Amino acid sequence: MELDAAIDGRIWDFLSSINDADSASAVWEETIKFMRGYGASHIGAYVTTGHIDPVVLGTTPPWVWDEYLSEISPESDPATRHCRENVTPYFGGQAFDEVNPSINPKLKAYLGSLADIGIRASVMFPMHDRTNRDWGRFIFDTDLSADDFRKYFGEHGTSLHLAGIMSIERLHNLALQAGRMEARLTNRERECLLWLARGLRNDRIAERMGLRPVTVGLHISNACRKLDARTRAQALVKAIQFGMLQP
Amino acid sequence: MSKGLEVSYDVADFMTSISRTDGIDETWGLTVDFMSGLGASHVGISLNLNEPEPLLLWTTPQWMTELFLESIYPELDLAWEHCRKSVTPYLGGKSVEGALPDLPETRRRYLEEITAAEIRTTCSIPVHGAEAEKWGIFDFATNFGPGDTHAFQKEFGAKVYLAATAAFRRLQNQIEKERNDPVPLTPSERECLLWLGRGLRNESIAARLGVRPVTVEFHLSNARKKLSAQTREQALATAMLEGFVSP
Repeated sequence: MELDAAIDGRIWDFLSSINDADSASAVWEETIKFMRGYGASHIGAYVTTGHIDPVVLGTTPPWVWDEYLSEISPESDPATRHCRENVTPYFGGQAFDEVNPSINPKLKAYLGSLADIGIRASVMFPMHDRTNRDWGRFIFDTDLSADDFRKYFGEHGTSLHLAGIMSIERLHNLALQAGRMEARLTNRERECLLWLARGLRNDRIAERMGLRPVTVGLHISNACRKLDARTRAQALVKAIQFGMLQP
Repeated sequence: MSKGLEVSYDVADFMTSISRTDGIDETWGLTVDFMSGLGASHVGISLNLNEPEPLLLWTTPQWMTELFLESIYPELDLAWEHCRKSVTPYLGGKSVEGALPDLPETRRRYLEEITAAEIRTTCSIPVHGAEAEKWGIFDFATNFGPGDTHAFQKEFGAKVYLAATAAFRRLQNQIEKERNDPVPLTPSERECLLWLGRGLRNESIAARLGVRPVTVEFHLSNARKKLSAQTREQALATAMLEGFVSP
């Protein structure tokens, strides 16, 4: 595994560069550069925002994610189970198979095919939100042996951890901002949702806002449409997730 | 460092522990402990809450916070300026700024004063989120001189940043939650007021409760805020009149 010389201090340049980057692809470019400098054979990021489509990025060929999402069920993958409930990192990959004697055969085969493209030992960094729900994962892959990787992680793990989660956080923020831009609720629409969040029904909202109930209904259904929500409850959730409301 | 596949290292364990706390006090206690373990003489957070003044949570004595607010209003503070726009840490304090030729006199005097309280270097870590207005600073203060600071940053910089960001986010969530549903005094706050009413000072109250004096100060400060009181006496009087406390 090749390491760039003088990697100390580059973490700060990296944090600045992803903060300045104003698109997901720009953030991802910087992240790839940084992680390759730390000797990654591949990297991957998974970010959900409440959008219908999660953000899935990787330097790996498409089959890696496709096969994972279609063939490997979360319940059979200890890595996913771990990431759902913990914020601590998780080692995975074929190099660690020997620690996992009861490994699901499908998973074992999958890890075998990852090894063929230089992914033998990886670390996964989970991210959870304020309600402790997991919304993101950063994956750093190497072709090292288990022992070499453990040693390497002992030395550089913190920098990788910091860089990884800052990267997916930035991607998460950009996705949220994009969602807000797309939806662009009017003040009236936002106000109606706010009263809804406080437990009022249309007629009471109408009283508060000096409108007719049918107008309130219109504002709310417009909000639903803009937020791509099927119900007002879903619209509320999305609006809160995008930071449009402070109930 | 890792047993099998689950990676346990100190920052990750810290992140886990604060994700399970019941409230601000517990989170703050764990944060202070962890940061002290890394070499901090003091820690603090400044949180912007869409109010005229930021919320300051500090382990330093009250006089220092007041001196800071009086003589160096936050917007004019160099660390503040940097942290508002950037994501990289900002090193300040006498050991770093002392050599600057055109340092304003008020700043120089302030740095002298805090040196007396064992703060020679401050590392200010900006914490930004998806919303531009909601940002803040985590301050990690040490007694280190310039040479030691440089070595410390190199070795522990990423670790402090990672832990500080996690702690800040957790505290921000808990503070906002408490502000949105204001609750009556917690048992700890009530108990501190009770003993205050019975004539004890911070040290004795701390001994009774089995906590540190700084924690007692923290409880009383929270009680003051909840009761909208300027002084602890007013807090006590208000609490008694409103029936929260009967010493």
